[in-house]
Amino acid sequence: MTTWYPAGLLEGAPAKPYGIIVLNQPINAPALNAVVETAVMLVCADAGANRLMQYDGHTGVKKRSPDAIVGDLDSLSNEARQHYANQGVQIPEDPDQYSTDFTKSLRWMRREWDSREGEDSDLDVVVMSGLGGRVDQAFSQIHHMYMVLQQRDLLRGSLYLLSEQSLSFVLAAGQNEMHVNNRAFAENVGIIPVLGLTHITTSGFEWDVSNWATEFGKQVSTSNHIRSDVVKVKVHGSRPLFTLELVKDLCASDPQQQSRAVTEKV
Amino acid sequence: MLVCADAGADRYMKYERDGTAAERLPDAIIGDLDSLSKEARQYYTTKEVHIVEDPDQYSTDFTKALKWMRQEWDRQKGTNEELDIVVMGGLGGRVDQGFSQIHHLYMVLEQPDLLRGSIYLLSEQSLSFVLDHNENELHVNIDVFAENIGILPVLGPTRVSTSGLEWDVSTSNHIKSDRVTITVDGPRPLFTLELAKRLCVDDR
Repeated sequence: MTTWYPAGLLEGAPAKPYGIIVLNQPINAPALNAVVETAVMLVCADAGANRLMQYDGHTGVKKRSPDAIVGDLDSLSNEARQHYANQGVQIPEDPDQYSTDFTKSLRWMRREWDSREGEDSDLDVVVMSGLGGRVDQAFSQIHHMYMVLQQRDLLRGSLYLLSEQSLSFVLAAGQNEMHVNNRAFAENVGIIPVLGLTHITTSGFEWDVSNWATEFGKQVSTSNHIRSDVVKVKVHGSRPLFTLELVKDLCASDPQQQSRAVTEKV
Repeated sequence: MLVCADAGADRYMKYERDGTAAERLPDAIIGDLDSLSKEARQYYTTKEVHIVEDPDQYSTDFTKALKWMRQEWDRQKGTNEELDIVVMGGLGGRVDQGFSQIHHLYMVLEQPDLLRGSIYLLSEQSLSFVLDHNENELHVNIDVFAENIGILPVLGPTRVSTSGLEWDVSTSNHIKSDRVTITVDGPRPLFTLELAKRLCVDDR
């Protein structure tokens, strides 16, 4: 059985150490604000640094210098590069065209953690991301969440996607027990059969199922509702994506409000 | 036709108020109507827009809207006239709702009471649709689309061969011709085209 504590992640009480990777998507500022202080590392994937600099410009957010900016750096702005170089941030350029900035960031973080903690120490990863841009890029992020699962040079631990209104992660095979609460999460959840047909048995939701076949085009559980502080999903087959709705205070604010906040910076 | 699925009417009302486009009223607002705001309901009622409350909890507002549109088209044109659907959607909200939209694109493919024609998802920066089996010939142009495309194996591994793209198949690719062909052998992938900047939501 695998036990998850996603609420702790968002409340400064993570069950395990985690690093943050910031991708090149508009940052969900309230969510980053909730996780940025207790992270052991903060890495920007290329122009994720542009986004972090923008986030820093919001009034009242907790600011933090990244440990590194990693990638081929073809999107990093001159302004962000200079800004963070002046803070002494490492900016190792990796021009390899066969891996993504996301992958490079994971690898850098994994190696850095190995050098700090000794090899093979678990490190969870929280990815600040968003699916509201190009659809191919949205799917690329989901693809990465699955791709890294068997790659110990990239991930030893769990990977969480923190996006505009949701926290998402790939369920383990077998029984999964999630400890949630209504301070961090609103009621809506989804169990998404990204890898294809799988069977799930659930408890703790408004509509529970037993050995239920789920696949795209046939039936998928979305807009289900949390009805307990401990919800369970048993997976028989390929591993689905589990996604939790964030409470309003942890959701990305209206983008138009966001740009006003930036221009009002103190 | 223009149909709002439940609080899609709130979204549409905001779009009309924010913009300069000539007013076009929805043909109907459909769903269980548990999210439709009082304000939008009142506003469209005074404009005499059809408001169809369907409390069935076993189908989504999206599905109900498709069914209504299909039945209305049948009524106007005689049964079985094709009608394509453009869905104003988005993946930048809740992840479960984003995937629900993708699921619906596939779910309706074999349901002629919901769809007879093609269905397109028009989201924040992309136009996306499910490719047909076998050969697909896509006529594109650079006024409307930017270079990035994706061929996404949503239903699982599939075989494709292509022409008119920059590289041999990968998830993200570039258009290199105004005629792109994609031949599908296996489960149907989702094809997604990046919109030109002027057609994108402007807040990113």
